[in-house]
Amino acid sequence: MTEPTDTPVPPAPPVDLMEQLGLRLRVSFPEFLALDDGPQAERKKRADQE
Amino acid sequence: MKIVIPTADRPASLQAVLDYYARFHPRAELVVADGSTPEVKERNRESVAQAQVAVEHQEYDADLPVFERLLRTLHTFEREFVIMGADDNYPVLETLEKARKRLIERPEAVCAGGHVVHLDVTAPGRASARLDVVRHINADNPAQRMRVFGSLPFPTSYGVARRAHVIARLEFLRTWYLRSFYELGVGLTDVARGQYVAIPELGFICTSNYVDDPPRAEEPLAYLRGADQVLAMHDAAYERAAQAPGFDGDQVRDVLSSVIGRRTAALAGAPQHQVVGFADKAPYKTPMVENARQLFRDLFAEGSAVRTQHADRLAFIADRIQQITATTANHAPAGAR
Repeated sequence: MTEPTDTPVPPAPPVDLMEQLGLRLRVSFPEFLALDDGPQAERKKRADQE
Repeated sequence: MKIVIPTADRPASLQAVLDYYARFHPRAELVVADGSTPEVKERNRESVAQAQVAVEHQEYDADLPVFERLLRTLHTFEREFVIMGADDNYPVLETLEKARKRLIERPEAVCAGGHVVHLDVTAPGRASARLDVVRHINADNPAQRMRVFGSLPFPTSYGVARRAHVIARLEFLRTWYLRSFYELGVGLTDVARGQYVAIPELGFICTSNYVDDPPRAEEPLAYLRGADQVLAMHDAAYERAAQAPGFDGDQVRDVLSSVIGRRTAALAGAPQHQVVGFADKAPYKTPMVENARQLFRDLFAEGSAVRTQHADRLAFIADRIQQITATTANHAPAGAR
């Protein structure tokens, strides 16, 4: 017989239905707007190297 | 096409949005409807004078309610098409130009626009993005338009509209406001009058931040205390529908009762998104919504075509929000900077 364990089960994180439906994204700021792939980032990289 | 920018005491935001137009849409024609205090108006005058885009600066008494101010602004020019875009909202004019052309082709439509992405910076380093999907509302009668719109409402005011329609909308809004019903009320009264044309592209980027827009919890029973406003919105939508071709009073009453009932249920804790089966059928499970969700995901995914298309725009907006939240630029008195 399996002994019951005293280890508490952590509560499940709250479900954000809007996220599940693809209508909301949790993002960091400002990184989410200035990812390293845009033309502006490219220009900045070039300027930094000059 | 004129773009009307309401602003009041947010000089850094106004500066940011003027710079945005100069950078991304330098041929835009702007009208700033300024209800700031005198010191901030002075700062805004400087921003307008230095702007690299055509801007008319209209100054109004700071005590004048915003919708009165906008009504006065709209009566100062004759252009047929108008975009209303506040100082923290960034329109994608490539999309809205398509919307304008569709309105020319479709005289029965009153407004048109693309999908709306809301960027809400809620704390230093934290933000969320939210998507509002626009949909075609093109039935010939007002009851059916309100039924389709009410099944999955979206903000109808972020786009292009006929100037006469915006004036009618503002005439309504100067007598009516209830925060929890605002977008629904505007949308219902819009589609009561005519059709909405959806452009399946990114149309507007609306922003908010924790400095300028601290969270304001609404009193839980506000929608009950404001019941007279809910009924006033019902009556306004009904009256507008009654002026439209194809009006059937019983149908309109049924639809309004149903849509307002659903909104009330959402406010009481049972939003329609939680209804079993919501994700498995229209209006959610449709090509329009699926494509918009894909666009939304791609907007924040490195390497996607949508990301590449809008990366400069998003980086610009991020940079300006960062400046605004990192300083007191929107609140320091003129002359202190």
